[in-house]
Amino acid sequence: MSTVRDALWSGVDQTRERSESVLSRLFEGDRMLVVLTVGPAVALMTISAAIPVVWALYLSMHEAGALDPNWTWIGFGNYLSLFGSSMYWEAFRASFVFGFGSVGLQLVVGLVTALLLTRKFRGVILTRALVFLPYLIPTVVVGMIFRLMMNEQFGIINIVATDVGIIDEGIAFLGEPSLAMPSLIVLNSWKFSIFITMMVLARLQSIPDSFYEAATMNGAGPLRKFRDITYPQIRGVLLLVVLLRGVWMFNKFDIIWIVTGGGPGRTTETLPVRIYRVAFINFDLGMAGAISGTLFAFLGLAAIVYFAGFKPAEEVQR
Amino acid sequence: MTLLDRLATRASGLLGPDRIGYQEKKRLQRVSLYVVVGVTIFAFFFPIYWMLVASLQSNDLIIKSPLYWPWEILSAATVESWVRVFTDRNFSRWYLNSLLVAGISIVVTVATATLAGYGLTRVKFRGRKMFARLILFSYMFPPILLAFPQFQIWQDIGLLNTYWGIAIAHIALALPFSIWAMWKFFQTVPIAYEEAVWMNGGTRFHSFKDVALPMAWPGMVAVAIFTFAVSWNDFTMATILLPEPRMQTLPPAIQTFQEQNFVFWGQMMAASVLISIPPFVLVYKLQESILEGFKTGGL
Repeated sequence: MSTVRDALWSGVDQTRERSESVLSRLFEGDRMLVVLTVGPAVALMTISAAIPVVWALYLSMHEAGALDPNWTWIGFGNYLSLFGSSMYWEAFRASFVFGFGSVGLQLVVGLVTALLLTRKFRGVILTRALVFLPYLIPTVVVGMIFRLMMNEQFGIINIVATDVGIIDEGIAFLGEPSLAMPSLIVLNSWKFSIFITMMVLARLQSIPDSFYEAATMNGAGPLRKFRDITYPQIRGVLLLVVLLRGVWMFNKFDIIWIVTGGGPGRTTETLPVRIYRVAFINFDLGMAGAISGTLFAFLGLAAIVYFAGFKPAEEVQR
Repeated sequence: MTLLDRLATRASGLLGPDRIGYQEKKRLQRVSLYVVVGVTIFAFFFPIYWMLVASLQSNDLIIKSPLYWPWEILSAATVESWVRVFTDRNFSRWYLNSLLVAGISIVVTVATATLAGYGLTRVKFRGRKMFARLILFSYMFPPILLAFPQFQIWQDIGLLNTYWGIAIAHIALALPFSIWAMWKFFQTVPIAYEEAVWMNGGTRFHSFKDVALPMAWPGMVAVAIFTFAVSWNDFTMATILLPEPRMQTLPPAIQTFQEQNFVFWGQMMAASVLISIPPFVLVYKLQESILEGFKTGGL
């Protein structure tokens, strides 16, 4: 018995030693080390991101239906018909309204909440925990909660508003064309404002108290303190957040699809929703590729601003 | 003095600063602070409260006249929706799918990002800056931009409706930030500790395994949580890459609680609570590691 176990263990030990010496040898050379460590990352990103993106761009140059295996090369034909279609520009506009509206609202709410939570008062820890909850709730759940709460007949917002007497009958927040987009922006911001709160809060806590003490000694009021101390310290974070959030909100798909599906009519149909429609309901793959192409151009533009403004690539050069 | 008089005195005190005492002013500030805090908590917490409330009421009640005061609900509460989520549907299977996919994504992402972070900090090579830019650029990719072409490719190579297919999609979303975070994290691990191992005759692999890796632990935990959040949250990729109902993860599966003309709100909210529990637990248990890990990440 024990001999078997000993043999087994020595076998395991031998294998481990051998593989360790092999790995030791491989890790010694710089070039090999890079290949072994960075290689898997490059391989994974190529399979999961680079190839699909190139594929979509290649697709955008073709007349391609999902049910028809033959693709016809048409160059920029898809793009040309895209730019000529009012549907595209409506979706483009909806994306901008949703993106700008969301980021604007989130910035105000997120900033005010952060300034509030950075103060010291009894229960601040509990308050912080409660305020952070929405960020942890999955998007699909957020969408469903608000669809329930904003329902025309039995949504709690309408019930309370009618009980109190603000309105006579329920409002279809998500069914009324003029209200759908603002409602969507509000419920989307409920979850994502917290992201800005967290980022700003982290930055605020690194401002030394002595700055504020000195300002108080010199007779500065709260507004002045904000303008001269707080704002310059958080400006960088705010800019970064506006840019990155702007890109993400412009490209947001899930919450819109879950809550309104692009409706009523096409009032909340943003570009990502349009891609989904065109690809999986109209089965026009080439066209979906072309819309993706324009989103990609937008991303590229944002990336140029990002790299020029923040030099993130230099941050890791050490 | 009546309450109204007192308020009037106070208001006049506000207008003329010498008429209001220091104590009074402090108290007023305190009260207004708590009012603002109260409103904030209400705004952020009420929808969560409503999710719990709806999950405890029968569907009939919800779509006729939902109760909203806590004491009313406690007397009329029913766990019917909670039970039905499990008996009427494939819920446990979906839950398992979600956990499995998140598990695969976490293991692969953490391993890959940790290795890459180490290599990138310890070796200077040409194209490193380019690599940083590409990584950050792909960090900005929206899911729909990847999911739509992935559907075409996955269909051709047989990855559609598979755990690996969806996991690779989640890895694509989580990996860029994870590599970046580990890259920055390894910069805080002093090379001197590794040099000490080499002085004692250890190889580079030994110093990586016995010194650098254990020190990178908080970063790895942070990356794992981030990846979990990405995978657990994902609706877009799962909707597109897992068309088969049995293979679905929780976010798209929730959609099956609505039928043509009817929504099972009670069950949907019960399921929603169940989906929200893991992220809560994780973040509360591991708050310290997250802060530690992201202190250097700062993105």
